Amino acid sequence: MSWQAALIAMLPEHLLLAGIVLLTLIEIAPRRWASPLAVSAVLVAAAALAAALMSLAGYAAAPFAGHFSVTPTTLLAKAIVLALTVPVVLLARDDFGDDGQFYLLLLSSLYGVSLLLSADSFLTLFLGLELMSLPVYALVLLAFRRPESAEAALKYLILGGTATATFLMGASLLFGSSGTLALSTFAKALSANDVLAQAAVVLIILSFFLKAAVVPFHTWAPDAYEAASIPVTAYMAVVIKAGVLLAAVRLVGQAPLSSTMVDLLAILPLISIVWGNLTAMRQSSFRRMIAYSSIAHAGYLYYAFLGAGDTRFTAVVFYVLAYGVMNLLAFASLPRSADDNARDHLDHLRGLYQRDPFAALMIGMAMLSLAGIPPLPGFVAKFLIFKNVIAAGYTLYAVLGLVGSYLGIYFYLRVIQYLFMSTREPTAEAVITQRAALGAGVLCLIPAVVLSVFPGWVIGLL
Amino acid sequence: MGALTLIVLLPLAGFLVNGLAGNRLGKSFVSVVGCGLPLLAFAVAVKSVLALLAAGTPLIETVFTWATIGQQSFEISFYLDRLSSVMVLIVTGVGSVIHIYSIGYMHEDNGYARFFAYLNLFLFFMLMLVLGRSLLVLFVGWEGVGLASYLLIGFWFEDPVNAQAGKKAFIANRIGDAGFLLGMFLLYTALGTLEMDRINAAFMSPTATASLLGLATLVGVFLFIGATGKSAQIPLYVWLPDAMAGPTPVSALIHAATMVTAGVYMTARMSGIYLHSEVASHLIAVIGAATALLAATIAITQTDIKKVLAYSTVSQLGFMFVAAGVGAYGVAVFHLYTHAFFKACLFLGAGSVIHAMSGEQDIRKMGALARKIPLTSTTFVIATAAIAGIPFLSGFFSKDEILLYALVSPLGSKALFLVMALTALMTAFYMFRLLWLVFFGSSRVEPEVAHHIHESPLSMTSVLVILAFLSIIGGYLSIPHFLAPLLPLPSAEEAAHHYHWTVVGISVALGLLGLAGAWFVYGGSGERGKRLQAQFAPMHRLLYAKYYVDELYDALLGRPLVWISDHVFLRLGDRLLLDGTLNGLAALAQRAAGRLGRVQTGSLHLYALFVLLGIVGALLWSWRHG
Amino acid sequence: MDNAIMLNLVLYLPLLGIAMLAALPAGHEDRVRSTSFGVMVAQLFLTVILYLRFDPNVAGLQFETRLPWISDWGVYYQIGLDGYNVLLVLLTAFLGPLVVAGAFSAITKDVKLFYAMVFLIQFAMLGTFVAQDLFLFYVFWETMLIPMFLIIGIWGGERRIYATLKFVLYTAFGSILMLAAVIYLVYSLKQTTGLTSFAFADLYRVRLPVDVQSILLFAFALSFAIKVPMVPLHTWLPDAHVEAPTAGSVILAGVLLKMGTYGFMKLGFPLFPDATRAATPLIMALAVVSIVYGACLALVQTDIKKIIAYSSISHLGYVMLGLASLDLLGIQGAVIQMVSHGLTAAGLFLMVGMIYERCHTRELAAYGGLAKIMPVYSVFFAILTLASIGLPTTSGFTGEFLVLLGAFRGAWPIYQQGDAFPLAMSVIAVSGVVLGALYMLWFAQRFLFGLAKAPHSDLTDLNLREKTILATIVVAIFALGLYPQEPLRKTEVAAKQYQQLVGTSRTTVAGSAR
Repeated sequence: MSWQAALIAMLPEHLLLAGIVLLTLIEIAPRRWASPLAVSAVLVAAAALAAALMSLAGYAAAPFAGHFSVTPTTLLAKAIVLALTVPVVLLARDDFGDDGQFYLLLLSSLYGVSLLLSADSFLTLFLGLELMSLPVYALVLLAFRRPESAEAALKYLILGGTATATFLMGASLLFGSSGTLALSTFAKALSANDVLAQAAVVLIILSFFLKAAVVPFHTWAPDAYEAASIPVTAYMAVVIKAGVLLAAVRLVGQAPLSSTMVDLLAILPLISIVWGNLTAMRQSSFRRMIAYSSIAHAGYLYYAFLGAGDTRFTAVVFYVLAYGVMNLLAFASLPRSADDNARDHLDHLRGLYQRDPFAALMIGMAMLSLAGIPPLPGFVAKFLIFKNVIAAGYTLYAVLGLVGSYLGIYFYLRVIQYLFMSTREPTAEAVITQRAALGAGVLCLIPAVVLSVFPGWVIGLL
Repeated sequence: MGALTLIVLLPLAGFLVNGLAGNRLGKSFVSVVGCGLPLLAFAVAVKSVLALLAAGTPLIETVFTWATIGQQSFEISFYLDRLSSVMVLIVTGVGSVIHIYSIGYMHEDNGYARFFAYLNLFLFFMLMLVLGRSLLVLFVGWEGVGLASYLLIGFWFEDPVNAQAGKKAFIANRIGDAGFLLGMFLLYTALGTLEMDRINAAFMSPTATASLLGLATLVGVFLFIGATGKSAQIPLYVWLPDAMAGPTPVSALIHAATMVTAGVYMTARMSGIYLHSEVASHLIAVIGAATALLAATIAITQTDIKKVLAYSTVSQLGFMFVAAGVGAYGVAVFHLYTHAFFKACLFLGAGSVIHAMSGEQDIRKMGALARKIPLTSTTFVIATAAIAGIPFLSGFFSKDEILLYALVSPLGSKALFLVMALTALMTAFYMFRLLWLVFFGSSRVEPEVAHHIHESPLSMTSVLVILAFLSIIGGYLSIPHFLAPLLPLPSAEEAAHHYHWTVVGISVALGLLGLAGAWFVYGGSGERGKRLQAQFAPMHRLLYAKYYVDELYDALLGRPLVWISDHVFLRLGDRLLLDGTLNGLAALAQRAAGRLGRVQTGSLHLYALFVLLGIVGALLWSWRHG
Repeated sequence: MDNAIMLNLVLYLPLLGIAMLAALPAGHEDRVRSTSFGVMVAQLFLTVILYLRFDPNVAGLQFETRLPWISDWGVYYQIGLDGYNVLLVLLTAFLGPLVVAGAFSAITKDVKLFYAMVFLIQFAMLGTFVAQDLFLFYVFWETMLIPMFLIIGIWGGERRIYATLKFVLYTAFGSILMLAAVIYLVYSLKQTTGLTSFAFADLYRVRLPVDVQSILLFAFALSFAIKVPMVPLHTWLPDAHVEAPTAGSVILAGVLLKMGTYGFMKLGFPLFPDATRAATPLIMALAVVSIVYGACLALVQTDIKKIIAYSSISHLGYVMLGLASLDLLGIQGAVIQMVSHGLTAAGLFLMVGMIYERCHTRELAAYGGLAKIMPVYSVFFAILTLASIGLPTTSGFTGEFLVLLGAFRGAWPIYQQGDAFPLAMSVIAVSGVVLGALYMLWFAQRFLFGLAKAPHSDLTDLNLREKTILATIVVAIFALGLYPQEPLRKTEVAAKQYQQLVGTSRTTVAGSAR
């Protein structure tokens, strides 16, 4: 059965691969015969659709036993990550236009992500992680408009390297202790209490913290986010984060945590909630602010692991969905500007409501949702996580986390204050809303509304 | 609609008509409505009183249920017995004539309609007060008359002084009302009803429990606090003299004849409670006597014609409370009733004088007006004689009975009697002093005022005549006897007989002595008066400044309250402590944000260090716990 | 029309209104205004019908809707009317048109957004009142923040940003702790009874040890006490009121503050009866402190709006006292006092707005003798003043009288058992009657009487629109003062239920307090 299975089971990946090939062809072709944006948009959407349908069909298979397998849940995860990428692609319209290499790198990274999400062995997991990360270093660099991009990309590369090293170290320790590369060994090691396994688990978790920018491993994020151009920032903030977290869920699975692990998974995230929310207060760059907010959100996401085993996947998926959709909505609605620096500056948002009410309302909504204010999806997502944490009996951590999230409200409101309460600058030029960006916005708005009005229905689906 | 309800609602109708449409309807219409409806109310009142006398049992009319909560229900109902019939006749009767007087007095004022609206509003609330069956209704009227008096004192609101006086009156009354409320609450908690006939019955019934009777003192004191506010007794009397800022008819109606006697009425109405508490009764008697004396001493030195009358009112109210304090409630009401006539007459007479003197109120600038305004002066003389206790005039009878019972009642005492006798003497003295300084002796009127002094119009003088007539004959209707079935007099028959003629003699003597004294001092040129004043200069200053009580209250209560609110609560509490803390926290968060942000130097080494520390730390830590 | 459907219609009409506004072409501001007004009037009309159909003798919910919302968590979309909320819903709907009409001339900037926000907050407030599911309640509760944040922040005065951030951050802090408590409460319901539900009715059955109750009560109380606001959590209120546009102040004083007292009555106290009874002395003390402190501060303000703001603190102290007294009279009085304050404070703020539109200053010192310049205005102002100091025949009297009487009656037996504290509190509270008269008359005297002076010599008296608005309020005030019987009947069952819920112990010895 192997090759048909491989063919069907990996359909999303194949579609992405097809996209990569097509884009390469377009690049090398003497004259442009198709729009890379269109191609990648269509193929990513197709991949997402395929994954979604297969998941609904309840398809499950293990084409490469012990290394790569798909189940409805993994497919669902893939579908969500891929779907979240579609708006990113559309967003790229006015930063990269039809510059093929962006899409090429994006799709390759995406391929890595989906590999990550169905990895069964540390080998595949490693492949996925690297394939996901390496193109992003280049993507950050792609915003060659600004010199500091190079520096940021380098930092990202080096710290990413550290993550890789940490991960390899942990994996090898596990291999040493268990003699197998199977992912399931991790879950076992979680409850095991021999030092070696412990160390391995800790190292691997830390590497995931690094990838998701949890304090104190977050330092790369603000620089990288600020240096990169809007679509890349969006991709890092949403898709990469989603990929890493979903992979972490796959890794930890439903295994119970030893008290040590609980504390590890509570304290560092808690710190990054507080740290991120506090630091974001004083930022004047939108992307940098989002970076810190994403650090805080990484904290909430890892809180989900404190919940009972069977609740983790739902919590993370729903959160990633709400968080991603709203983030992208904000990015999609950012007013355009010739000068990328100026565009990134918060002052650029002054009195936006006067210039472009719709955009202002969208960004405002996104901010409130990220702040976790009802009835927006961000609230339900947070509620779900903290509910599980309390149900698991970690009331204190939950309260501390909530208080930490309270600190975040201020800087989100600050954005709204810029949007509505300060009058427009004379210099700010009227905005020409891009059709592509508008599309992206709508793509996010619909799920946003659904998530707010029928959260129960969505949770039921997951 | 029952008769009692009608009595109450007629003035309300007047208020609504004149208040909403008065300015558009013209003065004559306003006068017709404003005086007609009270007169109508008076007629209905007479009719219902006759009905009462015919029936013998109190008339009760339930209008509607204000609120029902659980088992408790508060009913708005009216109650007419002999006591309230006396009150309702005084209120509607004297009230009506004063309305008529106002036609002439206020004619030039452009707030004419507003004035009559307010007067009618006052009557409405006053009638609720006297006809209310439950303390709740009484309280509605109680506060309502306070409002009306507030509005009327500040009637000429453009002068800040008047508005100020109105506010002072309202606040003083509110303080009393707070006590009154507590009394009500206590009664309601104990008995589960606020209906006064039921309350009295409960206290008078032989089966009344000790615990209930034990409350009598507390309740009595609380209610009396309310009375001191409304009826201007120590310590809350200070508002009444200032209340003279209002138009003179107001002073006559509200601040002499009716409203200020509400406290006396309430005490009589609640006699069932006071009969069970000697303490409360003594308190009433002592406060009453003290107030009467204090006010009388002040009255001697005042130079504003209305101020003198105001203090005499305070003093006379003291008399009434003494009577109530010694258990002679009927006598208290008797004096209330005679006082209503002669004091109204005096105030309206004063109004007529002021009218004639084109607004002048200082008696040092008057004198020898008798010839210029004969009718006014004649009535004024009669009323003065009445209040001074000259025999065979109304005041003589009531005051004599008060003195008698102050002496003979089981609750009375020689000391009390002596104090009241002294006060009576002073009353006679300062009233005749006033009389001389205004109407007789040599004229001190400024020339430009002098040449257009004129007698007031008929609408005013006729009223003066009526009231003077009543001041003469009023005393022959023995109210105590009329009320005896309801409010029996203290059991002191033989004592009363024994002392009766002595007391009569004394009080006659006092009246005449006061008259003689005043004649001696102020008669003729009035030089002696000045000399006397010079001799006792410090004394005179103290009295003239009303013992500096206002200043004292301001220093002890007013200023501290504002100071604490401003410096302690506002500046220290709200701004420094609370907002200070908040802003401090906010600043802290901001600073922390700055610090944490500065970690992001962009230096790769630092970042790497962070990562390294994180990893090592986590590993070590997991080993320690693992 | 079916009552339940009508209730939903009442709730969602504001959203419909927003949609209609969005559909309107840009520019036509008068159409925006008339549309908003129309929608509000329609809402009031429907609400009145519901109020009339409301059966005072039914114990539980009426006109109930119950649909699964987040079934996995046992969250239901459950709304309905009961004695607790029926008057407040009516009040909210009653003030709606007045708020809209009151802003006709005041708001000229971003008119569409403004009315959209008014609708949004109207929706959130009604939702908070009718919600019968804790999750739903919390969602509506928090939703209120957003429109208020914008209303103050966009159309406010000089220091609007500071004021509005203070308001939101203050209230949000309370809500965060309440959220934790909510989750914990539901979780312990699951532990003790095994059923996962957010329905109030179910939560009223949860049994907890006193210490846990106290912690949870604290979390809830913090959130509610900030909204009320009770001293010492009140400092956001004066700033918010001063900076907010008239409509904002009216909504704030008229309805928003009642959220706190309603929360206490519907949730805080009944959910944790044992902790509540243990904390009663503290609650009473804070209530009385609020009464006195608020009154004293009102006495020394120079800004008209601040006077009314602080008076609100004082007046809501009575409500808390009534609720804490656990005496039926006190509870009923508290309910009436809520409505009464809603009417008087709303009216006063509207009047301040009217004079502000004419003179552009709120400094009391700038005014005097308005009775001469604007007689009609002054009459209305005087009536509202007297209502707010609780003069008989006005709604204020009904509320204060019943509350104080109830507090006293409730405290007396305790006093006879030897604990004089509650009695002392109720006696001190009576002094509020005097202080109230003190500051309000001081205010009125400076404002209306004395020599005529105002920033603008050519002051026009109230126009028809303004007269109508105020007349409506005044009628309501007298109705509530002269014949409270009717509304009291509708709330009685609820008051009894509250009394019974808080009165009966629901503690457990062995409880798991993590």
